[in-house]
Amino acid sequence: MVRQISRRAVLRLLGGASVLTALSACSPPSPTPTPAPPAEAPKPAAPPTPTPAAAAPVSAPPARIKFQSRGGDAILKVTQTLVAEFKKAFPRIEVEIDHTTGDHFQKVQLGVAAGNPPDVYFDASLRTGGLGWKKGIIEDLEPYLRRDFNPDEHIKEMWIAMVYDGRRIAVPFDSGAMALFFNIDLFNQAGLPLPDPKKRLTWDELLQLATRLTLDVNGKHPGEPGFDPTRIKQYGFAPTLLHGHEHWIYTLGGEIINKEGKVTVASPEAIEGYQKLADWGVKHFVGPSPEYKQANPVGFAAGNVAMSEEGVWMLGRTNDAKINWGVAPFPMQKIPVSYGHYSGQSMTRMSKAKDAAWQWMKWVSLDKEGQTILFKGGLLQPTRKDLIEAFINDSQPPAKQYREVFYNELDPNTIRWPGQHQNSFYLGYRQYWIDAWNPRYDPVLRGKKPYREIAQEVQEILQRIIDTGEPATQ
Amino acid sequence: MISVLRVGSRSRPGLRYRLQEALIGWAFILPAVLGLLFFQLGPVLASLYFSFTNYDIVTPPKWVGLTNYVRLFTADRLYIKSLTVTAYYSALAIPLSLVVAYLVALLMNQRVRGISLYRTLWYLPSLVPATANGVLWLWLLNRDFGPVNFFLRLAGLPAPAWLSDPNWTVPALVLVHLWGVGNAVLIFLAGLQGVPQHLYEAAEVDGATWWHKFRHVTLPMTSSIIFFNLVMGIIGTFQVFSIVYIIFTPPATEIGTAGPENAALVYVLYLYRNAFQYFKMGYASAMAWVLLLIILTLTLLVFRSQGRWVYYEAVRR
Repeated sequence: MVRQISRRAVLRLLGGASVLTALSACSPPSPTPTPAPPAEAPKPAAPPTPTPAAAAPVSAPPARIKFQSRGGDAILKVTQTLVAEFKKAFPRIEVEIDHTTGDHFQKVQLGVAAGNPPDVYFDASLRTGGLGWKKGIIEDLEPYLRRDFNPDEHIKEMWIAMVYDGRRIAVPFDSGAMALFFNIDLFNQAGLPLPDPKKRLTWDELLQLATRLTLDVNGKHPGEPGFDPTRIKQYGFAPTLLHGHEHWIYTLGGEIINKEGKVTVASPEAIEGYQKLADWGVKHFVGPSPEYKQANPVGFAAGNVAMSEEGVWMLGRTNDAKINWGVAPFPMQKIPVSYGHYSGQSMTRMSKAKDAAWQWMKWVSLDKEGQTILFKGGLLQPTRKDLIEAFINDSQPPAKQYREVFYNELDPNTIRWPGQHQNSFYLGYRQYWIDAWNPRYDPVLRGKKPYREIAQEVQEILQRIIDTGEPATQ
Repeated sequence: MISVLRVGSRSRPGLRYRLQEALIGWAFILPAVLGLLFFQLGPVLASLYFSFTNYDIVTPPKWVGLTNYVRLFTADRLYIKSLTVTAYYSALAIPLSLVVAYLVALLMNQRVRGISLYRTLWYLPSLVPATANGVLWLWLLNRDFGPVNFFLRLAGLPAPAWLSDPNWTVPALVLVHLWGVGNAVLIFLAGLQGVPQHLYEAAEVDGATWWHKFRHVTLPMTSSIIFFNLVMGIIGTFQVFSIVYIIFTPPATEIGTAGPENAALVYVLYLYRNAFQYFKMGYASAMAWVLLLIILTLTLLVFRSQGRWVYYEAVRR
């Protein structure tokens, strides 16, 4: 018996299967048919006040919590150490590590949607903490802190970027102050004096040093005939383009978000500051720029940047790279300004083991044992006053006088950050801000447009984000 | 009863045979159908429901009717931008990848020594993971030291800033896409090898040149393969995401961008942002369904057009 399958029939089958594939691929990633909001679905503006039970003693019922961490291997190793040590102190609380190297916040959201979120997660500040709080994922820690936290034991600046709508929503797990890192060997090779850890460089001083420290592959400095910005051997200065970059505006007396909640990125100070930030790369040619991507990895830990604005969280990685380094305060123009923030771990509101979760958070982030492991692992600049000396006198580089800079930079008289007047980092909308800001500032960074050309438009868009609490749609 | 499958038979199948054919067909696609029904249909239908709601994952969805769909086209300029970028990308990537894959397949269909090695080399890039692919192309497309621009300069051509000039961002992504045409090449190659040799011989007897043979034998006989790759190309290019995400997300910051001045804000990237950064799962679901409709419409148009340009040997007989 002869059967026939035409080529058309085969192709129809394939085509049909393709359309089905497209149909399935078009569905949003991993939605759930039955949404799983918490029974106590909280209102962001007026979150429910939890009633924490007494601190779980050794005799407390056994509990199991899931801690979601994120980042590279270094953070995972520290987390594993924390879990092992925590287990000794609280043998009845089992901590499961759920580590992710990618988009950790997506994972949190999927866990929430599936009704299986982590009990505690890191990182919950800056970009995502505000939204996590406003959308009702993150638990209000005020009741726990009122019971278990002694403010006299910690520095006051520990809560930057972890307070939203007047509520503390995380406890420190990572980070601390930012400062100007410098490579001592590169300074010595250039025959230049090292920056003073107690004195801020002015912009002019910084430019002079950076120009002499910048070399193209032919050994020429910026401004010399034949200097090639596309073939750089070593940069003199890399300003931060992310965390703390706002100091370029604050030091001129400008604001990002003023006391009235108005975005002021079109002020004369902001225009000058944001332009200066771009000029390091595309006018002075002393710093990395997206316009001149180099063949080799560029960075302070790569050893080819003489001065770089970095956070204390780079301490471990810089030492791993065997850099001979020192630290100075952020540069200034008119007003001395510094910056720092802590990246926290937060409890999810849907956690079914909140007491055990808080026990973990407290031990790791507030108690001496946990903070010691975090700072020894190169993650955290301790917030505990009784660990400051240990941090400053630590035998690992940089030297003591440089380690002190990190605490000097947390001086409440100099530290500035957007949303400071409202005590709410970017008023909780950092992610929206970044997505609106980056594509518009990009041509400025590449030297294609002056900042003043985009300032007014950017200001209006960012103001709308703050006013509406919605992401930009243009 | 022994059932023999034969392509191109002159006998006309009866009802029984057609039923048997259908059963065999269903048996082949059953695993995929079961997977779709058990694991994907639920989420797909849920996303349809969510698309008519305001759903932020945490709180229960609230019915808003067509609001999300209306907002997409009336109040969201970034959405229109993402649509434009994706259409531009697809308009370049689909025809170029078809032409390139077809030409490569023609080359790989030659009887020369070491052809298996060449075929393997052409297929290898399709096996490179997207992340490695992205990192590789970041280097290849560097304006100042990348090999692509090195050769362009050697040829006296302008060397664009592929990944930092908004005008060149999409062409750069298309170039990356073309590097992975190995799958399409393989399918074309299979089609080319299925062209009956006697047709070429008959054409030669009639004095046909290589062009005549290509135009009147090879192209018609492989038109169904072109059709298949075209449909797959439409589906694939409109869903481009991972390469954009990898290339424009600096690893140290984990902050994804959409290229210079949002020049690479492709549809699915914007969908992803709404779903997983903005807590707008309902809105993102609406985006997903509009994308489905776009792909479905284009696919149906291509299906409708096939009568004019796709040659099916069995049908003609």
